Amino acid sequence: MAISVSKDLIAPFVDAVSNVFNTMIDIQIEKQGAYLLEEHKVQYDVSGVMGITGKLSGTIAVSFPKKLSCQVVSALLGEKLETFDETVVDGIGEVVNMISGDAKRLFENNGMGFEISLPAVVVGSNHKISSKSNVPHVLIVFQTGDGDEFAVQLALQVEY
Amino acid sequence: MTKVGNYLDKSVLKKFTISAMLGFSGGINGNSAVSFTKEHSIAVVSSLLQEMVDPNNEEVINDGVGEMVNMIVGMAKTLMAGKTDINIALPIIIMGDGHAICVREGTPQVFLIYKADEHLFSIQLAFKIES
Repeated sequence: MAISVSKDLIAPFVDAVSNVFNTMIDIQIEKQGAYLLEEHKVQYDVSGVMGITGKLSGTIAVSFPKKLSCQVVSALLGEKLETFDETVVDGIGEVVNMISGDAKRLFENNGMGFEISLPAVVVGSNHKISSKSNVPHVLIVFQTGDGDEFAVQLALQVEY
Repeated sequence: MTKVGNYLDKSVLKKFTISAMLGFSGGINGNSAVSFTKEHSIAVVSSLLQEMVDPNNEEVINDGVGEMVNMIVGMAKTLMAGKTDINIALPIIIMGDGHAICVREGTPQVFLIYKADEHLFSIQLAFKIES
């Protein structure tokens, strides 16, 4: 059976992001667009990264500007964090953990189970994330109610 | 190439500009990253490909450092055979001056710092053994 990249591979991750924000993080978000890395580049400051292995193999990275990362973790923990510190780093690790965990559940429903590794968090002003040139790399940009943007980056391959 | 020390100090990574990172899962869940200075990454990839790479050819350099972390973790998987098994994810490449790779509190993380031709590079490992 042919796999539709947008419907079968991208949509569950978009749904997982919405589910996590709807249930755990009280910030309004809207999907702004999905792009190939060649078409659109983002450079943010904090990225939660998770490896995926199994029938679907790859990496998911959720990247935020520093200010938004503090707001997201504040909303997650229910306490106002003014400065970027280890609590925010931990929180962004938890955000990518929750998003990939929910995506894993959605893919299991579709018969495409995978395992997740451990979250890592990349911290560095304006860093750029890419993947090897033979791996499709999709960028999904979301916008918050305040007009801030963040991105989910997917480097995925279906293993046969 | 000499191993110059083990650090549990994230600040040591502040020197590096490019990292390739991948996750793995199975008997051990974790992630590993190899980090270089920009200059060193060009030298390493040139050596890997056995030809001088164009310092502005981001794609070739990204592919080369991605392949480095693939080979290192692939080799570790082979060395662990019979004891435990891991499945290796696909690498991503991170570019940015002085970026740091962190893990959540409670996750053991170690940086192996090597020196090769007067350049320092780092191998980061974070893992959790599944019981």
